[in-house]
Amino acid sequence: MAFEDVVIERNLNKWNVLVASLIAGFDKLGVLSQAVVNKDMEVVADKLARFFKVKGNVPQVDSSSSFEENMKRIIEFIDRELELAGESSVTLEGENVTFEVVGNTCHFCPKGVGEAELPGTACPYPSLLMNFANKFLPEDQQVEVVLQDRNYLKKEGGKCRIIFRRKS
Amino acid sequence: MEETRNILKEFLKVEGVIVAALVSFDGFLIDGVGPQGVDLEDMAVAASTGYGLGKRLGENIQGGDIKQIMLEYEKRSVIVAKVPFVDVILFLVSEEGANLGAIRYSIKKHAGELSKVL
Repeated sequence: MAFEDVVIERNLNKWNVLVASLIAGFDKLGVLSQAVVNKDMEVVADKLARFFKVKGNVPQVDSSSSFEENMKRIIEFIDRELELAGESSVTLEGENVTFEVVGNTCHFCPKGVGEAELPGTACPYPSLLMNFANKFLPEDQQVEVVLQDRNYLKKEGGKCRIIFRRKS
Repeated sequence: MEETRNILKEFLKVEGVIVAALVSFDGFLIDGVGPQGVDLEDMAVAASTGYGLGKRLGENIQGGDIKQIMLEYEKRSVIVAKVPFVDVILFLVSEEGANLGAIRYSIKKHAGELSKVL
């Protein structure tokens, strides 16, 4: 699909294009990978957490709520604030908190929007959400990403699925 | 994992080698041995990035597939080599004064074994 069609299909704004292309651009140097994006998003998550604190706009998290409830609130907060995708959902399944994005509505995909041509994934969301959440979750509710077949996310039926659970 | 671990330990028998690790092309540590306190996960990301950069440079100079990258620092050296037939990188760190020729020989000797178990 031509980029021009992607802009319309995903209802992209200029910031979506800027960020997705910025990440994708590293593929031109041969240095883009999921691991690199994960590292990079540690920094981004820290900066965003500090940004939202300065602005007095933070996710509503409290130690009396369960990990799953708090994590759901944090994901929904960041999804709302950054408009990660046109269609997404957060579901609770036992100990897992699952964030699903309809692939062709994702606003920051380095492959779908940025047109990076690497064989694996380079999704910013697993590390971004995990590290951002860990800035707000109570110490006994720190979160980690559940690997799916050794991957940080799994694409199935047109949806990208990221699973989180409480760090053991 | 035990099979790869045993082969990686063979590299540590070469005088001066202190880290031996296997890294996927997408930057994740598959297995590694090294001194306590060394962050192998971080090294894995840097190794895959260095490999990717070297690969792209190879394309620019029409040099063909990358076989090995050697970086010599003041105190330590790094050798990054592709494991044949699989999308995996072997990453070795050696102390100052290590015999780099011996390290390269050990790669030649054990790379095939790694291919078989990966």
